[in-house]
Amino acid sequence: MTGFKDFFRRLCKNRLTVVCLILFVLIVLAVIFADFIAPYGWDDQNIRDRYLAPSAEHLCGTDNYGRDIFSRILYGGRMSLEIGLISAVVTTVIGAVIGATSAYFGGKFDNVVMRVLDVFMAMPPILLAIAIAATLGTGMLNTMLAVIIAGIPMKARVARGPVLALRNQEFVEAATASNSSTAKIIFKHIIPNIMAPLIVQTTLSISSSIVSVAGLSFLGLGVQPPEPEWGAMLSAGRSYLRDYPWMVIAPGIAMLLTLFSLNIVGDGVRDALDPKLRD
Amino acid sequence: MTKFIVKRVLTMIPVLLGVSLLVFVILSLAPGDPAVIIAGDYAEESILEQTREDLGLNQPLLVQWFNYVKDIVTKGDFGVSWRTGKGVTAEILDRFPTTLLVALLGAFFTAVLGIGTGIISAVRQYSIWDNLATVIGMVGVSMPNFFTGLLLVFVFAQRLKILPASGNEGWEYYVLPIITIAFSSCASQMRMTRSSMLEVMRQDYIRTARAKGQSERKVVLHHQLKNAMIPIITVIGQQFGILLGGSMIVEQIFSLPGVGKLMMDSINYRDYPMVRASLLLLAFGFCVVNLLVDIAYAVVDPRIRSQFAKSKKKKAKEEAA
Repeated sequence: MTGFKDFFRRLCKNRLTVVCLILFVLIVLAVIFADFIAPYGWDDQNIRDRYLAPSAEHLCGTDNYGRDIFSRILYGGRMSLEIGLISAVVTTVIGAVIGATSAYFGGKFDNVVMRVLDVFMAMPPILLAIAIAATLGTGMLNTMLAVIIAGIPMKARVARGPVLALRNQEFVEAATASNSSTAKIIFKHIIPNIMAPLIVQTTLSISSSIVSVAGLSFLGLGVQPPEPEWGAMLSAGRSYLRDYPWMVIAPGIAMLLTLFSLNIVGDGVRDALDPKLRD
Repeated sequence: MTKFIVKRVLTMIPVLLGVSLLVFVILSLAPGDPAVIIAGDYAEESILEQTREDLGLNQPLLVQWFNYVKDIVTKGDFGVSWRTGKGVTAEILDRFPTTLLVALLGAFFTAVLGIGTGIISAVRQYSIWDNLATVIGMVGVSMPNFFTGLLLVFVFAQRLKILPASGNEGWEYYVLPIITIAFSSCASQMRMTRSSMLEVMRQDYIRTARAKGQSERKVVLHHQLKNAMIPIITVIGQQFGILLGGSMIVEQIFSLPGVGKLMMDSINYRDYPMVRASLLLLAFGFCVVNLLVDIAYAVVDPRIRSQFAKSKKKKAKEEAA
């Protein structure tokens, strides 16, 4: 595991990265153990305690149904992080397989695949996601699917470049000569060699997936209330912004902190895996 | 150069056809019978059949798509709204200027502020300004635009009461939307400008320029910025796509009557011809921007221009051989 140790040492060279890594780990732990940390359930309504300002009892106040916003943020974070992580991984894996296969075979096949991807990429990803979400309907799974489909073309493009360079290398030739199947060559020899850019892509796209899903929910096309997804919470708090701003600001800040730490860690991972910056 | 542009415009045609097919297929998969949406839930079967016949919904999907594209190309007709029964084209063209204005101004401020702060950051690396800009930039990148928008509404419209929160009766109604839309793009632009400038800074020709006594201003603007321009332009193009997509959210927050708001409303009414046309128009705008970006590459970088010229010569040689 010296490779990992080396990676970790270089990741920790930047102080801001370390702080953000700790912050992110704390957020993840808080979200995983939400059942023990959250003082209330995510859907516990209490009509007498509506619109309470933040206090010791309700850290982030309560909303129009008297639900504790802090608890909802924790449970909502579980949802957002889950969605972000799963869609980032799935998008990158499918994108990598498409990109790698296309580059490996090359020629006409590659040409056709790339032209199809061109068409997908001629639309801004969020527009594509909105179109797909509008068709599939609302709900967590459909929203994830929309974000995943909209994200695949870009990932395929990213994976294709390095594979083009790899496919003429000697170890691929050796694998072909020793009668390995094409699938084995792609999955066992080529994909592990493009792992570094794939890991970077995955880390960087977790935050963008979270934002896309939250954006769709904000527009009413994603996760629906009463589920405590962050974008849906912001959207629901919008009408109460003037008098009860914590309904918007608290989940917004939770989101900002998560995305901020994720982005810094993502940048750190990218720099730590970049062979050009290796000392 | 003209040949390059013509060629690039021609390659847009198959892409746009593909986009229209993609949009067509995606939206035709939407649940619900269009005839029922148009004629109402309790319409008789004969009326439903008549509606289907009138709109050509009985034909295979590819034929429907072909007719759709034919109408757009020959008559500039994007179909008929299922909700109002009127042509979609007029309504969309009516809304388009608002979206375009917000996106263009957003892109303008993104470019000016983003590139400006990026240059300052790179030139004064690790100074207090650089650190400040880096942190603000990171916050900007991490801030979802709907949260930025709501915060701005809360502070400037509801607490300070100096700017209106929604509507479009004058220029002041565009201030908050444009700040919202430009904030995160500005941050990305700044980060890209900074890293691109820093990469160029270590090159030999910069040292040469300094060695021959060139003024610092000229070194930065003529030698450094010019060579750092390619990634910067790439980001301008990308950000414009994000601005167009963001228009959906911004127009929703500030109730601006643009294409994005029209599209969201149409999705709620399940008025798919309207959704389709809005999507196509926005995708078309994105393609045009990508075209401009490609042309801009050739304008700022003589290497790219010469590459094209070379490939032309090569072709001529091949033909001769």
